[in-house]
Amino acid sequence: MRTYLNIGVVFSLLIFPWWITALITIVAFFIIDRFYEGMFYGILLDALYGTSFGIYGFAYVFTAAFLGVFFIVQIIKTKVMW
Amino acid sequence: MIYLKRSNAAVKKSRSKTIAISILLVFLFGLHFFFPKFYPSIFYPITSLVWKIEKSTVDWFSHMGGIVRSKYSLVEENRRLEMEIQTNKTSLLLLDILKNENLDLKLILGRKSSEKMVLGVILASPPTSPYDTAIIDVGSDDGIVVGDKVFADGDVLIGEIAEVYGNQSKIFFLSTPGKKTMVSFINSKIKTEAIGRGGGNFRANIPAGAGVIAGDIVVSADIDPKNMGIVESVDTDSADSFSSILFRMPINIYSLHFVEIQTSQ
Repeated sequence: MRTYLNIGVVFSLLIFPWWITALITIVAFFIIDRFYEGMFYGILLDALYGTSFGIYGFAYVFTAAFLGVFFIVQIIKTKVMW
Repeated sequence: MIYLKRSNAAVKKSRSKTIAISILLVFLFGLHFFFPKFYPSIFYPITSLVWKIEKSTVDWFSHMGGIVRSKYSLVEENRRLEMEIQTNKTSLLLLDILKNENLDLKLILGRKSSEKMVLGVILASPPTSPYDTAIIDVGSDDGIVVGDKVFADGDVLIGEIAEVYGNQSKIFFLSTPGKKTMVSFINSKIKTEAIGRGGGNFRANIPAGAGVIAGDIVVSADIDPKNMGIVESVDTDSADSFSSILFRMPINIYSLHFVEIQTSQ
């Protein structure tokens, strides 16, 4: 599953709209145990498509977002049983 | 009493793995932070290939779709386009006359422009790109440098070159959220700073009652004004001395296939 989701995110990152990539990554954060790769995909999104100006002057939107989501998901996973 | 000591080897192993991965991620982020061109210079040659394959596949499908369209709809479309061409011809004639006159005046005033245009194919653009940016297939090998102006449909200023690589460049659209650009409103001659709102949209504030109305043309505020947008709406609050203008690019940045880059090299 981990491999399939990684392939999915990489392809989505290059071909699909960014929100699909974000969605797949968030799903992967929930499904996969400690999906560290997700944070690297955030860095990659910023590096491939971002500029030094970024959005409203912040250039690391996806790195920060995926890092935040990772920690939130980890907290949710410890609190909720499934 | 004798207690069995709990083995925490697995916990230790998991913790050291987490620390190692965290260090690796910090290192990978550091690479991007200190060397912003590191990842693009490695990945662009590979990703360009994927983008080109995707583009040709999409083009092939849309071409096939065009072939199987009904004859009747094609005849209808042809008729509509012929009418549109007739209407545009008159406007184009006038535009050519004005362009030549503008060039002549600049020559007389010694403001001769020596720039040339380079055509670039868009490899990736919004919505694939989450930022208001696009990747094109021309780079430093074609004489592109950072800061070169980017146009669409010949005369619409849409952005600037942000980063240049061997055979690829990164464009940022002027509508990038938060980006400020000096613009001028053709009819009222007012110059102001427009702030990008993403997706080809801008917001600008001008004194209330300046005479800007929906449909006015917005151009770049420099010696060689270029078309930048069309006013969509003017919001005036009676309690405020300024009006808020919303305008958008006359082209759709989501459906762009080609751009022209004005380069001085």
